[in-house]
Amino acid sequence: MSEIGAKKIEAMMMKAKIASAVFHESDQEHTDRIVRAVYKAAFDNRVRLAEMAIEETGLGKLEDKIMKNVLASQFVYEDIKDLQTVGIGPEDKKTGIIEIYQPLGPIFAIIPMTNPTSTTIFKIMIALKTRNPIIIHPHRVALECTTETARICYEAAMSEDAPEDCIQWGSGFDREDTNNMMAHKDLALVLATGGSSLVNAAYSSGTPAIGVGAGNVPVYIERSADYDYAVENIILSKTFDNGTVCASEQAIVVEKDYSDYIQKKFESSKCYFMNDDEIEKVNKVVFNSKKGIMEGGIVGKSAEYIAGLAGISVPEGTVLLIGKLQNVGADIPLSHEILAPVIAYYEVDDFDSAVNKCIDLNYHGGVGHTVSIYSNDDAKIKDFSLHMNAGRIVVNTPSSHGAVGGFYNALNASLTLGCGSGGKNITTDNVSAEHLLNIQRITKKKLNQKFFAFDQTKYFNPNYKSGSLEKEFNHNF
Amino acid sequence: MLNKLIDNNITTISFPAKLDTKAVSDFADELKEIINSSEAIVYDMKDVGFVSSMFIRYCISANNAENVNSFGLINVSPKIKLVFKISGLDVFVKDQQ
Repeated sequence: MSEIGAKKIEAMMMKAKIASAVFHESDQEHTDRIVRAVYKAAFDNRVRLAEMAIEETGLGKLEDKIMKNVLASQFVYEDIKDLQTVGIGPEDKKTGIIEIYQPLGPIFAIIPMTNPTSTTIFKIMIALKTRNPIIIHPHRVALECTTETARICYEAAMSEDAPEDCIQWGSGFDREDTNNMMAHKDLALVLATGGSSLVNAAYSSGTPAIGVGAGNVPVYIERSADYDYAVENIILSKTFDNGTVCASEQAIVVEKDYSDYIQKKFESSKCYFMNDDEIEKVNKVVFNSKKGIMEGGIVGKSAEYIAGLAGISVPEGTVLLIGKLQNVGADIPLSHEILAPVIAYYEVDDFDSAVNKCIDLNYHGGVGHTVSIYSNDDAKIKDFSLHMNAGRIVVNTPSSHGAVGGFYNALNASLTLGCGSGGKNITTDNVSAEHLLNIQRITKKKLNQKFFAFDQTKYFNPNYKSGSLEKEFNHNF
Repeated sequence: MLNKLIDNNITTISFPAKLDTKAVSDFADELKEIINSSEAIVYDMKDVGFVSSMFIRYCISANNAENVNSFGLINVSPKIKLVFKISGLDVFVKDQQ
């Protein structure tokens, strides 16, 4: 028996449908006032909501959860505030095409336990900017902090006369409710962030869905890199919120002849290289070999906590556990995505071997997501990038921060990172407001001059072949 | 004429840089003969920068041949590695560390 039930789902969808109709009447100025109010409320509550998330889920670090809320509110706002999302856009004089920006309709947003408050803020911001009502599906482990975030955003939106029920949230969706909601005929889109089974269910629902694929991010410290800088930034990134960002580094790849220097730099920066026995012990606590995925219980936990759980002794203050590996594969736990401060380390012979290793890692559960390189050689960066299947190739940048945009580059600030066809996604973009619009195009008459200057009767004569017709078609142009 | 080296019952074959359909057709008979008469085959891809579908079929043939106990590719460049990765045949690539 479902917890929310069919009647409640029907009622929520009816409210969302009405909100959608009313929202359609808002102009750009009104929409922007609503979004600004939500941004300010979310930003002003960034610390309290982060504290709630930490207290409720026990995952991550307070300062980093706060920064995620900053990203989702301030950075996303800065990104979208000037975007036209309502009404008639300017005419493109060259093509004669005029765009009209229309909302999609009700959106169902699935929120993960790893980034509950920030993802809720983010999805609400981009939904409201595009005049789409949104229904929030909290993770059961992060119910209170997620619903409180939604409530704060809703209150702020209502202070600017937003449509009633433009933000709704459930408090006990089970799988049956979720599936019924996702398949509802009046739902326009599922914004799915969560485990692979949930994302797959979203894609199978029959409703358009923007999901995210899993990551397995290799970081290659190339020969020309600033090694000290690379190590410092990898630690910053991999320990950010105790590794809960899906774009965080999962494996370091270095060439043998400078690996010693890199290893010493890591070791002098509170990172611990495990021996083979210790790797075995950590494997058992971070990876569920029956399911073939990381253990949920270690997600977002500290390196010292995981070391303690595994029964290995590490120096006090250790921030990152590193395991030297040879191979990549299903039976090698640390070559999988582990959303915690545990990372694999590979030593290779040369550039080609490094790229080959990164291909293996990239295709081992992280296709389409993110890869990282530290290098000062543009040719090598481009060569490396050509061989990767990743929506984001972040260069000389902490991957966790770089992939989500806003901090270190000009990518859209986003907590939904498209992974392209490799991740079963429709886009490789950092998803934002621009992805939540129906864009209609007014196309004024603009004759194809080549076509009308051409003797069209020749199309009907089989003796004319492509070579001669192509020449004639383009004659005098 | 393919460059072939037999050592410890392992037949290692070196290939030219461009393994397009024509090039593979030219040595197809020779390659078939090697496949049919070897127990262990290694394709050394050191100089190879392009592979055609036909060449990949000969990789599959070598791997599936009843008389062949082991088959693999070595010295594979990233470009060629990616071809085998995308085709789901990267199990043939043996130069992983």
